[in-house]
Amino acid sequence: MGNRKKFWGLLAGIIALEFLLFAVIGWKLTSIIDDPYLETQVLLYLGIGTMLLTTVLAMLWAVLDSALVKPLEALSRVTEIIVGANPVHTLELPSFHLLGDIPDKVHNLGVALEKTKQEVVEAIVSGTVGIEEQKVQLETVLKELKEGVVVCDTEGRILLYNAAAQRLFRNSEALGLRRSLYGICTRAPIEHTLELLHQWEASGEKDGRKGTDVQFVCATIKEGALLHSRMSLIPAKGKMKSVFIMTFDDVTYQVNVLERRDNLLRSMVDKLRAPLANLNAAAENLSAHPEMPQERRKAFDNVIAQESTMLTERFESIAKECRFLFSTQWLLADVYSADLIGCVIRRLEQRGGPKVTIIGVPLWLHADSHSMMLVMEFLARRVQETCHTSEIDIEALLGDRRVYLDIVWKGDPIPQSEVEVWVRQPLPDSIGAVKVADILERHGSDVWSQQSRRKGYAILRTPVPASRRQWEVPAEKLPERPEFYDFSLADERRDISELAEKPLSSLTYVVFDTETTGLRPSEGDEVISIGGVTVINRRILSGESFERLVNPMRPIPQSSVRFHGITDDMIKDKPPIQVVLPQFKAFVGDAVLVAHNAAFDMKFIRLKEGECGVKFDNPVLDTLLLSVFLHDHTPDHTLDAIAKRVGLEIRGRHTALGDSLLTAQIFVRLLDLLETRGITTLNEVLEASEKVFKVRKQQARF
Amino acid sequence: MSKSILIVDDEPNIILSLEYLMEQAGYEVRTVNDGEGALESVKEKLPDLILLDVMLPKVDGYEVCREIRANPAWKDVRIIMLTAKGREVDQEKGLAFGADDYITKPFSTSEVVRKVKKILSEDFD
Repeated sequence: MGNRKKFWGLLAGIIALEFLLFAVIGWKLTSIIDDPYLETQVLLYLGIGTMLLTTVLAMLWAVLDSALVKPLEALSRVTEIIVGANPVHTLELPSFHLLGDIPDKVHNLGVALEKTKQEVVEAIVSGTVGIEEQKVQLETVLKELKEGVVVCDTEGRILLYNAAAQRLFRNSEALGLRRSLYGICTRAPIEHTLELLHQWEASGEKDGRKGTDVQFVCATIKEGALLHSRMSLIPAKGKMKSVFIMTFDDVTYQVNVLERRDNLLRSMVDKLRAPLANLNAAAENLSAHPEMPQERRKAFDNVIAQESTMLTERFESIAKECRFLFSTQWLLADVYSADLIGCVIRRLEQRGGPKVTIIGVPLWLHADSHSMMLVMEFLARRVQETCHTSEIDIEALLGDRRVYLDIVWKGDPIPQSEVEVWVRQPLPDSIGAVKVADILERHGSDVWSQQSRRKGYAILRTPVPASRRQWEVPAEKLPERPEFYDFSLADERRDISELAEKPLSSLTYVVFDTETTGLRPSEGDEVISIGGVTVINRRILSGESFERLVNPMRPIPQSSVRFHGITDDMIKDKPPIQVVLPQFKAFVGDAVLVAHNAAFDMKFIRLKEGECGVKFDNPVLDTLLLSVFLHDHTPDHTLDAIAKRVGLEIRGRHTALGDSLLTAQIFVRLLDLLETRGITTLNEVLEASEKVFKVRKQQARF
Repeated sequence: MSKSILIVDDEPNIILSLEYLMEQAGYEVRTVNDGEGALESVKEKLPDLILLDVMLPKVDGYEVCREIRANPAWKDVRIIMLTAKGREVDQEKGLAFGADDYITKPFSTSEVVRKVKKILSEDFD
């Protein structure tokens, strides 16, 4: 029954009692009073009193109902809503009520409840996001780890493993979730270690003396490779069962190197002892007995000749082994020359030093990058001091199996005696206070100064082992873009009179390339990547390069992906052409633009100029046209063909920046060839290009 | 007229052998034992070939090599570097300073004679 019903029920009860009371009073009075008139009067007044009292009571009830009972009822419902659905639900109460400030307090309670609820939700959300992030981070770390990681339950069933583990176990089919670890690893050492860990766990001994993990060596079952392992036990906790984590590192190589070193030391003593003893005895005999008969003397001479040949041979084999062991002891890793030189530049900027510019095409080195960086910084500073130059270039050049890191400056080479003094100095900031020469020795390297190929310049050359990555070429050879003739580079050329007569070598160039969704700019194909690099004074300033992915605002056709390797996923967060093209224009400035098959790239750019609010009115040169002009004996003017013709290695093709760098190298070589043909100004080269262009366009029609 | 060879090394024992070897091969031989001496000797009379040790007191072999190459009047002098280090980079370094060939110690006498003869005969090509 509702509260209001009870309330009104109460009134009905009271009224009933009232009627009863008046009825009893009326009945009693009529029995006392004998006068019928008086009796009628009394009954009449009693009746009126009853009615009046009833009316007053009803009115009182009505007022209480609307001012107290009804609002209370409403408050109760609101409370239900606040608890159940909407904590900040506003109370709808009549303007007059007797609840005082209770409704406000309930409302405040609701607001406080809402706040708490939200905080709880936020805490849960951030907690979940945190957990998710941590999970992703953990997965990434596990994936990136050089060490193999395997997590097992105490029965040795594999619960988790990473990619490195897969590599270590040579993709053994026995490595899989819920499979036994003992299918891939020798059982005895693992079980023994596990037992040890359990024992420590049970005895509660976890002090520094014993630690929480054990290192040991086990072997793979399939190949018998030696694995350096670490095992930790994670005891059971709540619902989680006890598991153990193992990390693996293949030490077969290190063990082999150690063995080889031991063998070398042993053989040095053994192999050299005999010839030395024989030589020594023969020489002593000869000098102690000058009277020795001729025949005997000859015998001793023979001994000396034989033994010294033997000694030389043995020494050679030992020296060879020494060199191998020497260079393998240090942890050399692949590093990109641009990264290494970039670090040198930052250090010189931060600590004051010469201004260094990276030139040339970056290459892969195999080096201890930190030490090598310190060496290059040290050498750059010495060059600055000795040659009084504040601007130097650093270039990576590919030699035979080695990359030359050349410090280049305007002036003369430094005397070798001076360089020898430098390398004997301790290397600042190095670990273990080593000398420059020690670091060079680790890399089988040395340093010397000589003339540069550029006239008037000198270099300080440090050969560093090249990484094998240098020669890893993409498997697929891709067809080149068709030549483009529906757009003339000369059509919209601006007034270049100020540049026209300047020598070609004095101009600033930006060599660039674009990747696109396809070959038809007028039919909706779009730019998805722009790369470019500055060339000044025949130097490719690879430190001053431009590389951006562009969101084409349309799907990338699968058929084009194999050309550029750019997928929808990679460009979904990238800015559109309207952002990137003005950035590219800012990078280019007033430089002369250079591209291979430039009409293709320029067509794409021209179509976007309007909506991007920029205009590329720079002079444009095309390496394809220049190549045709210079080498009209051959029909093949693809980038690869020209590169081969001018003696360049082809690497890292089919990214916008990779192709730009190759085109830049080609362009620098073509500049030299143009000069030998007597073409030395921009005007002359543009005229030559135009002529070739017209002929090619005609030919293309047929 | 027989060709002349200048031997530059700071170890008298190896000079003894090389001098004898070259004389036996029919060359006119001079010897000095440091870098400064080598340059003076070259100024005095131009040899056809120099057997030049790398590690020399005062001016080292690389510097001698560069000084000789820096003078156009001496461009016909052939230089074979003798190096005690057997690394590839040392050979490269020698060539960078203008040496024509290099021989790593220890060497066999026949190898030295072969290389000297080969280089001196190329002059006629």
